Amino acid sequence: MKLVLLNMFLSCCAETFGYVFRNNNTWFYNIYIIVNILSWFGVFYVLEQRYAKAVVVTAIVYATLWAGYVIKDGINVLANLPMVYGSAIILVFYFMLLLAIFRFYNGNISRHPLLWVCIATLLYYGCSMPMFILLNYVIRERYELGIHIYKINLFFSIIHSFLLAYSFYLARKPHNIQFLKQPYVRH
Amino acid sequence: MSDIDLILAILIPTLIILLLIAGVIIVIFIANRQRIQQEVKMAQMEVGYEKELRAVESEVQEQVMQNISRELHDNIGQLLTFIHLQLERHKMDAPEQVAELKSIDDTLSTTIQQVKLLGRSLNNDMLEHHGLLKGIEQEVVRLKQLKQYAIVFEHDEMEPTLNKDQRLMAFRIFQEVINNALKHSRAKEIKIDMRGNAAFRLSVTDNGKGFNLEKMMGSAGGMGLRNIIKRANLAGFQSNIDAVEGKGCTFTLEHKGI
Repeated sequence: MKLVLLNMFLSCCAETFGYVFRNNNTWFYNIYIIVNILSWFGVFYVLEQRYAKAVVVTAIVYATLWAGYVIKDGINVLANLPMVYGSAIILVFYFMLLLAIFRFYNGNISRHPLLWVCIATLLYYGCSMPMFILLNYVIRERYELGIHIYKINLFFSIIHSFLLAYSFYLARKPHNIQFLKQPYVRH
Repeated sequence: MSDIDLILAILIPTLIILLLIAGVIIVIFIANRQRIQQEVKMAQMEVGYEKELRAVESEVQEQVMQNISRELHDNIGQLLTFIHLQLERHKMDAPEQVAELKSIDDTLSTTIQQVKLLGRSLNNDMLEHHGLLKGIEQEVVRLKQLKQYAIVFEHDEMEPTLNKDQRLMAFRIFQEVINNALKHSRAKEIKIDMRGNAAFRLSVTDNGKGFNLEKMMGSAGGMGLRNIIKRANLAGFQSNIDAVEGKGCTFTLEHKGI
């Protein structure tokens, strides 16, 4: 949960920076995207030690792809395809985590903070994927429409934040820390 | 591509993904709920089975105790009374030996009394007719007559409002706790305290050698204690054991009432 909190803090910083420096901030968003997606990989890495190697390899491939894209198109062009690739990997990881929680947690699953972290992540990255695939094209061809379409991301970002806030609310009790540390131990 | 086409090209896959994720989450929630319901059902069945098992166990135990009690009364008691009569006759035949036979006579009288009380304590008729308070009082009298232990029984004059099974269970648990204190803890002083009727509380404190509760509960030797706690729970009591090595033990049995 500390990593999730760090992630949320980064998001807040990025949003604030993006608001303050409204013009020409794509380079910052590109950097934020890689940090953000790698931190979600990090959360999964901490929780699912069984797939540690796979997570590390995927993160390296993702970072390489991102770097290649940025070198090719420049830092001022939104690195949307690495974002889509990262989102797809996050979907797989967090879907596995969701199933693991369901399989190994004996109690009422709706009270498990990690479940809400998974749902938040799946909804945000899953539903933003189609938009990110076409976003560069739309912005290039019809800038005004692109601005409106980007609101889809904003909408899911709000849902994402609310769900993460709820997971923190659930994790407030000391006993919940136990099943954050050991999500696969039956209680 | 027109604007509408572009919007649809983004919105339709987004909605499909959203529905898929929502579907998976709903299925997981439903499956989890069903699993919880099944687990609750299983737990209830387990408790029911355990209750039935304990009831049968308790019934068998009571039957054995009744038999022993009857044997003590009809057989041993009669034999002791016969010996007593013979002794009386011998005293009449040989008055010069009366003084010598006095100690035998006293021991025999105590034995007859003890056998009588033991028979009563094993028999649950007394408990049924006179209640738990009287039963415990009688047990205290029996223990006091052994003249080896200092027993203090404090209580109010209220008979606890327990049903027949609970009364019997409370009494048997009490007997077992006392037996543990005397036999295993080698206690010399026992304080019994019984209060309340609808909300009833019985505590037994001894000055024996005590024990480490955690260790004891985890060991094979703690089977008796585990059994006591389980039986108390099944009969609707809350039990608590407060024991310190070298400092005795306090056992508490509580019933919150209806």
